[in-house]
Amino acid sequence: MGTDRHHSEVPRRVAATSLADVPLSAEEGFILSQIDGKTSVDDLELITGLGGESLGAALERLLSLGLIETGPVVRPGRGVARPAIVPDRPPTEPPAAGERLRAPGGFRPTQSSERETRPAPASEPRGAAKQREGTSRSQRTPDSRREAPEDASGPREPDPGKEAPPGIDADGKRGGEAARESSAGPSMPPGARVDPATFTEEALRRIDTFLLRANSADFYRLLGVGRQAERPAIRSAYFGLAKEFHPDAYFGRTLGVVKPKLERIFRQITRAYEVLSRSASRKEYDVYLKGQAVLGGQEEEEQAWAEEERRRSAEPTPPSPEAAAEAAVGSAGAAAAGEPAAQAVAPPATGPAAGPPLSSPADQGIHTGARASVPPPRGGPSSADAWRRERTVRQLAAVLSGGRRRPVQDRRGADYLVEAESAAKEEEWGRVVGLLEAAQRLGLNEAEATRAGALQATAAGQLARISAGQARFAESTGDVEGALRHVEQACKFGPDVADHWDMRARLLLRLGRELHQARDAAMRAIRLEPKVLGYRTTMIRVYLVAGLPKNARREADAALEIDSSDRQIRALLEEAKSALE
Amino acid sequence: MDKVIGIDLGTTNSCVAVVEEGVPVVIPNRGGYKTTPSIVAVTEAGKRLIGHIAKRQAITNSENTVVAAKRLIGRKWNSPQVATSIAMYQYRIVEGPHADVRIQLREKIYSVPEVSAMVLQEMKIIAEDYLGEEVSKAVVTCPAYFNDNQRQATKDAGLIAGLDVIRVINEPTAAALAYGFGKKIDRLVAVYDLGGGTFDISLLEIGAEGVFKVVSTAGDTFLGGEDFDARIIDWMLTDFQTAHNVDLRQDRMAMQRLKDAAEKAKCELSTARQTEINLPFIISTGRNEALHLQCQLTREKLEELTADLVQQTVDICANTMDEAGLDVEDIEDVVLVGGMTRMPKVQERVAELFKREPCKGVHPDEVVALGASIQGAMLVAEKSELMLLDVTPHTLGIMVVGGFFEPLIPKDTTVPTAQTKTFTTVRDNQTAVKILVLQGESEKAEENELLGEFVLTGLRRAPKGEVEIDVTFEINADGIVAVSAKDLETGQEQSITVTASSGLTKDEVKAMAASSHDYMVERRKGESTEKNRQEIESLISEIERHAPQVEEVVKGSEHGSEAMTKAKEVVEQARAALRSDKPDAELQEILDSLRRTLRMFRAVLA
Ligand SMILES: Nc1ncnc2c1ncn2[C@@H]1O[C@H](COP(=O)(O)OP(=O)(O)O)[C@@H](O)[C@H]1O
Ligand SMILES: [Mg+2]
Repeated sequence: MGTDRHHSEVPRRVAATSLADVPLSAEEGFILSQIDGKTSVDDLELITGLGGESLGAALERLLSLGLIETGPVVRPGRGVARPAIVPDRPPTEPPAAGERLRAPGGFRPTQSSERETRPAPASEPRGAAKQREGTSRSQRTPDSRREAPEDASGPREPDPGKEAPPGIDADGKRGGEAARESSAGPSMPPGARVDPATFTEEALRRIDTFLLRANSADFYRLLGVGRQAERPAIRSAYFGLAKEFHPDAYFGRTLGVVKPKLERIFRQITRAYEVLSRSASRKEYDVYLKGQAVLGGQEEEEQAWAEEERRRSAEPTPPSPEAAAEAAVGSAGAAAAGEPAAQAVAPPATGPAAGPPLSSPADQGIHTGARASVPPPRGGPSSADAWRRERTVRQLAAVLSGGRRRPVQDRRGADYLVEAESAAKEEEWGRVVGLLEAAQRLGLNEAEATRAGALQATAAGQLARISAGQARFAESTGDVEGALRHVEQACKFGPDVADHWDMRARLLLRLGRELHQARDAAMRAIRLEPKVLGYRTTMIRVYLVAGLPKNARREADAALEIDSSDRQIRALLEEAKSALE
Repeated sequence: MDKVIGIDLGTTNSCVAVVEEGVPVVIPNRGGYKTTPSIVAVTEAGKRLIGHIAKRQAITNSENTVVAAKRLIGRKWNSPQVATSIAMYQYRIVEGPHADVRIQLREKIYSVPEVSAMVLQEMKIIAEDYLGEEVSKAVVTCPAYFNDNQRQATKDAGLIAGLDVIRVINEPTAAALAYGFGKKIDRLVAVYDLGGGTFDISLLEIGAEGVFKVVSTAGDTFLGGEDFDARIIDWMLTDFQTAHNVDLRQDRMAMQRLKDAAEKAKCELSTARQTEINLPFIISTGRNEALHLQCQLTREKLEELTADLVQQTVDICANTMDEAGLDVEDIEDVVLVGGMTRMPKVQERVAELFKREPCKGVHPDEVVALGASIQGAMLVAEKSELMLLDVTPHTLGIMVVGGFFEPLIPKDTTVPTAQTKTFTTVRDNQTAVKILVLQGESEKAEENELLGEFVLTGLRRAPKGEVEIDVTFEINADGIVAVSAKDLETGQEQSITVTASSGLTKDEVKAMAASSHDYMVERRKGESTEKNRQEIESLISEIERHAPQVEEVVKGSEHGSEAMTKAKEVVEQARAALRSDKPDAELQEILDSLRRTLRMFRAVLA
């Protein structure tokens, strides 16, 4: 389900543009060919295997050439058959790839993520709200409050036979209507329903450009400052943009669909400013950027950027492009240090939650607790954490594209399927997965979909096996970090192999961090193979290291029920007991 | 284009300003004062008094004189602040129909927004008299710590007063706007606002681009000039008790006089080193003799009595800088706002803390209203040179299991903004969740302000913890909060636009607006009637003054004496009209004939 969750700007081809004599690079041509009015920027990133930044730059160019335009936020409907590559998202996995790829957006792991999904403000004209409604099958209604059932006791006393109350029915119906409308949606020009007097053509184009940048560019590029820029320059750049894109600049005028765009841009530039204007967070962000560049194979780009900047600002101290190893080490250190204390302790033991932290029973019929024992530290995002997640994705992206980025015009899903099949013969499993993803996005008929499904399962299995092997090898050489990276892949592609999870838990334990994740992984292994004592041992160890001897004892007791003679577990039990005293 | 006025609706004093030809100016009231006490009273005869006049009659009519209504606005009846106010003030505070707060003045019960509306209406009139045109739009300020319910109540007050409040902005932000207006500076400033009832500190970044960004705000809602007054009163009471063994606390009138005297002394000590408090006949004793209160208060004594209050403000400032991760050295200027900052000790301590002399260029009483008017002009401008980036004053979040408060949008986040967090179910087969939208800083949900609630139903049946629900909070530039919850599996989604509640229903606000409008019409009519009557009187006396001379001149002509008789009739009629209660239209006719008569007289004499 994870892959279904992301959503971002969807670029569209501008109708009736002749491509004959447009000066496009091969890469841009390829991207253009993939733009079908349905594929979001995030998806494009996945399909093309291009980094967020180069994709962003290419899209900006296409936009400036008038070849494409971007529309309102469109989320792929749930009804679309799109078998997930990853059958189930492990509890500790970050969200779907597309989401993770939005680098700036994922920058603050300890804070809640910002998404484009948002309810229409009441003041927004009906048209805009409708248009957005049309983007997803499941939708709210602006006045759903009135339709909400009076009876809020549902949660306290769950009634198994209870049908969804009328409020939701109405909601659903509206959603259906909206879905039908949505097929017409994308053809609507982005400026529809906007008072033409409010925006000049130029202003609209700038808004679209910045919207793209907000989605893909790094914070420096978004604000249009160099990496060495001093605080006042950053402030000045931000203030200039804020004046331009704050919705108040158009106070009292009809903004229609442009309003959410402005808000999105404003939020992102504000975020960029807040990160870059504080030296601590800026430092972290720089580390993160470096890591990103190294792993995305973008050293050259980085250097080019630095060059350009040096020329521009004539800074006396040009940035020295640091060695990959150094960046990696630096960020690993930051990762360990930046881990919020709250997360070092496993939350109270109940069942493993599917993603967010755990919660315990409600008392008031009010619920939903994603609650760390301590609130996340204010303004202390661990960018290293984001960086680590990003790294995994980057690697995946590199594998997927197989290092080859060929401009291919007008290809269909079936073409990608064929290519995937030949890649499978060469055992290039990473490419297989990527090509299949692309194939499925572009559409396959039923027979093809079955073929793709089978191939996908094989490829995922192979990737999991290979990753696990690499992980073991890396571990044997003492590269625990590397091993963890590989094992994460293994878990992702082979989530039903208990061994992967156990290994993950053990590696995290070795690194002594993210114990809650270690705990979740260990638990997952146990759930898959309840009888294997080795997995139990890992679990007990995690609890002991996390300083939760009570849980450790309980776990040990449970393990001894399986085999009361296991010496190792007995020893751990003693350890737990002594810790309790 | 419509003029937008800016109103500083203060706890103690209010002020109105407008931008004219690009220059913001404060508009003086009829008495020539630039600020108007935020005091409303109803006399025994049922007459409504607002401002200075209401303040002056408070001694004899304290039960029907509302001061500091702002402390009650948007609050719930059972809140501690309301309890404090009930103990502190002498007017009757009663419970309203929606657990809100109402105020009884004579026979009539008013909602708090209605009382504030009376002050706003007064400010509106002041502006209209000055501009010579009707005013319908305003930017009104409120303290930074006001929650959404209080802000909504402030808007409702505007609505009742016949004003479309196009934006409510924070007082310190407004002050910074006025401070930075037209300066083209890059600067990080602290705005220190110590008013009559509250203390506020805000840090703002000002950019030469004309952008004002709030970095952080904090304050204390019960720390202000009144607390300083209370210290002086206590000191006087203790002295008096020692000297005469009489407790003045029991005597309302005496207490009100003490309060006035204390404030007066406090203000005087901002310039003088010593002042005399003289309250003769403060109370009469059983033996039928009167006691007088007479004492000397020095500035040193006042500073000693209030040292801890000043210290509190300093501590809050230090804290705020800490929280924002800023050092004293980062602050490039300090703006003083509020009447209490005239106290030398306050200035001294602030200068000490920030290691610099506070800015001298702004007027502490006027700067907030000026800023509000600037924001008003800037919002409606075709292309504005200025942009205000305000923040959410309180953390927004939802209630989670265990009655805890889970923040989604932290305090001091620049708006517009949006945040999403994923939550899970807490019991097996849970099919619905109730989302309580809260605002505040407490870990415990119940201690925060409830802004709204809704239920997300139709969740997939699954073991607890398996269903994921995305909760998204969004705040737009107008500060309107929208919340949506979505079941990620089924796509089921519910949302609300949180309409903060002032404690009044829409219909109530409408009805109140209508009755306030009627009152205004009456009052305007009354005013014009009064004006006409005065003019009639002066015309009569002028005509009578000229009459003997004219009679002399026209004596000979028959035509002349006829005219003379006619003139006398007109005057007689006018006199009769003054004695009776003639409608405005008739007075107008009489005025016309009087003017004609006078013109004729003048022609004869010329
Ligand atoms: N010269 C002065 N010296 C000391 N205090 C003063 C002076 N003038 C006014 N004040 C006090 O300032 C307070 C009113 O400040 P103001 O900013 O008008 O309040 P608010 O913003 O709450 O309406 C009162 O307590 C008043 O006594
Ligand atoms: Mg004030």
